[in-house]
Amino acid sequence: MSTHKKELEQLIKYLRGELSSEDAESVKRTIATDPTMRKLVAMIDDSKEGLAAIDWEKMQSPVHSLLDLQLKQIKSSRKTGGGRRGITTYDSKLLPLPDGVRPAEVDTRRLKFQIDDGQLEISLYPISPNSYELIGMLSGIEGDMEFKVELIEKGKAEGKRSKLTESTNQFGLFRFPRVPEGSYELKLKKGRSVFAGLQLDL
Amino acid sequence: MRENDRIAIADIIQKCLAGDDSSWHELIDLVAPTIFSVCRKSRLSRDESFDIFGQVSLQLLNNLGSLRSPEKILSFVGTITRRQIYNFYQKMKLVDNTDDQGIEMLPDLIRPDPEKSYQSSRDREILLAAMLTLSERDYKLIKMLFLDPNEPSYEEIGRKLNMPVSSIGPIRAKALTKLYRKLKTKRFKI
Repeated sequence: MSTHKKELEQLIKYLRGELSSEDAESVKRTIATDPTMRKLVAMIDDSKEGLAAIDWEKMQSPVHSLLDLQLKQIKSSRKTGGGRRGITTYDSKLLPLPDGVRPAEVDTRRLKFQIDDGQLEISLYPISPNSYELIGMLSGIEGDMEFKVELIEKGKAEGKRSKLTESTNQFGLFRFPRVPEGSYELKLKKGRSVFAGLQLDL
Repeated sequence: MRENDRIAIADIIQKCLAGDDSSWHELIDLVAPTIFSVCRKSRLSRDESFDIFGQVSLQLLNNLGSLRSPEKILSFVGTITRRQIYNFYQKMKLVDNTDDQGIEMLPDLIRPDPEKSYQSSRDREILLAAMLTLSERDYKLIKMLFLDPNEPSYEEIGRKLNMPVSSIGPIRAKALTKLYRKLKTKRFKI
């Protein structure tokens, strides 16, 4: 690149789209003679287009929320020690609605948790304003996929906590027909031993 | 903001490893556009891209300490992202279960113009990696001047970077020259 001040200023104006078409053509001719310059301009144009396409402004907030959730869950799993903990890798609730889409009164929610190399995918279907049908599917977990699944309500005194229990089928699928809103500990159990746990806020 | 306030990616990573949550936000802000850009190139929807992001960020949270060279962070993230997208397509049965070479070839398999899309995805990583070697002030100035899709005015840039509009002119020319010189070095191989 010539470090000639005028050329550099022209290039900056070109990249900012501030030149007349005639001046832009002149800058293009200069760019064409310098391979590194040509590549730099192409990279900048392409990156700008890419950033516009992903709408980073709108994705930044859900990205931070998911990251915070993962940090919190990882810290919590280290504190409790022992036993596998599911860490959230996806929650549709964190994403804003796309432009022009109105919020539906009844909407489904999908969540994904990583458990070692396996995954638990949960779909929630509202069946009343304060309760959901919960369908879960395990995948990628070694060995047989048959578990007892417990949902234990949190934040209430012992004895007042509700506990719901279901079992997976041989494909790792399970279903709770009605789960009231609240905060739960979901446990996957083999007999009496806990295979993995995770926090689920509905 | 002073010129020598370096982004120092190594410092950010060290703070992340020491458990500083705000540094994690800083790191994710640097790498997330790369993740979403690779997803976009692979024609994933917004929801699918967010799903991939969640898996990549978890891997980053769990494996950041094993990163040998902090300046390789973007290529590290790019590789994990391509691997996750490959797994995603494998689950959807859109990619043959052949071998791991498929990961590197992923954009080739799902874009109509494979060579171009693969190269531009790499180019973005190179550009951002070169920008990360600039000072924090220069990095932010270049990003806002040339990469921000909202095309902020000089007044907005001055306000956000806490610098007088009159000083943007000389600084931007020096910053662009530095970036150009970085890209000419063997390290960035363009």
